[in-house]
Amino acid sequence: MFFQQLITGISVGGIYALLATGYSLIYSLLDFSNWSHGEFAMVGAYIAIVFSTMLPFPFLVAAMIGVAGGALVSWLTEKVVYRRIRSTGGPNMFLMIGAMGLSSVFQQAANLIFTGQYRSYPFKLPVSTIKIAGAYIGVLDLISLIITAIILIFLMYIINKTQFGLNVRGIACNQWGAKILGVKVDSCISKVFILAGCLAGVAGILYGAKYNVWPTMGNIGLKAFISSVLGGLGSVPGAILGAVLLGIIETLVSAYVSSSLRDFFSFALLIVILLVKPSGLLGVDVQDKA
Amino acid sequence: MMTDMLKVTDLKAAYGGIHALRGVSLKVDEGEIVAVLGANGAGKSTLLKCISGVMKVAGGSIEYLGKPIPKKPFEIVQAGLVQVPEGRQIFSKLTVEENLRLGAGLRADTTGMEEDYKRCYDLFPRLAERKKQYGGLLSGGEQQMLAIARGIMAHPKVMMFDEPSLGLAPVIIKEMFDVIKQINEEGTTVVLIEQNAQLALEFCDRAYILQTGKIVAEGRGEDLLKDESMIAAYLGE
Repeated sequence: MFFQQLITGISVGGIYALLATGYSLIYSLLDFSNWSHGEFAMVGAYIAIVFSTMLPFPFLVAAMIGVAGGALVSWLTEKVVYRRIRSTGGPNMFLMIGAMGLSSVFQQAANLIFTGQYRSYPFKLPVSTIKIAGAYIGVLDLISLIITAIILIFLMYIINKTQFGLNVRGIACNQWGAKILGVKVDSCISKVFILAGCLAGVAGILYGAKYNVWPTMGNIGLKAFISSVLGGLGSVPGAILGAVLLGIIETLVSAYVSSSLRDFFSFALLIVILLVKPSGLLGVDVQDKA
Repeated sequence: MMTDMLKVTDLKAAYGGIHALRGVSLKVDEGEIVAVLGANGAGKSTLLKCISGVMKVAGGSIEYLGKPIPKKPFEIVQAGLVQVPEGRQIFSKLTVEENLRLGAGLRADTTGMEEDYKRCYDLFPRLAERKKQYGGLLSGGEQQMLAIARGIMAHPKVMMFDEPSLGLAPVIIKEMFDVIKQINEEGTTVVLIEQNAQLALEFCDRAYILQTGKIVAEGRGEDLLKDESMIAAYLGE
């Protein structure tokens, strides 16, 4: 039983991690909380619904289109909204408020187009299980876990081993210094939004496959926020660690305490972290931004 | 005959309504060390920001190798003009090695890059010892070395130094200027911004003196050095 819950917890945590890493990357570059980040997951999930249930596409193709859609919308928000707000030189608070506005726009639009009805993908995966070491593990949980792990390893590789990743970390550390050295700052920021949108799209589809798709499902963005704070805001490995921990805690609370208290525990944890260790578990404090 | 490496003509720039540069003209020949001196607020850093493309020019022109300078900062770096900025602007959460790799980000010539890594570590053995350390954990002098090395990694034709002596001990300053001399002798043109006039005039080939956004004097370093009244009037020493 415990093993089963643990796998479910890690799997849910993986979905949070896909969102939390993108959220964290954007935070590290632009110093603002992207409250519309979860909506990219919702957009991706709905696009996959449209292509797999209303149009005759195989689910995998629909899912890929959904991921691309999440990336496109994420990139557009940067291009149309955030970059313009930045060019006015206003405080970062404007970016956050803009993000809140975008979040409402996306949720309302989804409500208008698709109504509030819960929708699901055309397969029965959620109910099938396989027996491993005496426990019944959800097939969907396992698939989700494997996909997430592969994507996150790939992401860590991009961030730590490629020139693009180095540029991103450089901008996060000192945007002005990076610009002077010839780093293409705006182009890097755009690419990060595209990357974050892809990750969110995958998260949305996996989440939708597990719990259905509905207009306000983007609120799982809040869980990405809690994960990032738990792991250390702006740190990608921290976001992954925080997300997996949060997924496990939520699943265990649901299983052994009460599922209605799940969010109560999550947000209580957020407040405790902010009070006790605001830098998070992996928040490195070498030196603050110069 | 020498080429005009860099030619600035009647350059104007402003912060909001405040004029920081009111028509600055200067030129730098290939292989020279040219100093731009002036008191705090004279417009020295503004001049470099304009040349680096990170500040909007309000009037006048900047030519590089006989053509108008590219507009975007990365195009300017790619063309061979690199700034070692004031305050060093080290990437504190990246290692020394990563700082250098970031400096070489626009290059595709792998062999040339390997040679330049070696060159940086030869120039600054202390950086070689600290390859894996975070930039933020280096001392002030080491950070200045890293900033210079990072500039070298972009393989510039012109290197512009903004106050490399700022906040450093005299013995480190001497070391830094020796390195700048060496970089120049190896074929890189140098533009040097300094508040420490005595030091810079001894060191440079030619110098311009900037006061409240205008060039008020220019000449060979040693000639300006002899003109004590001028130094007293404009550089406050």
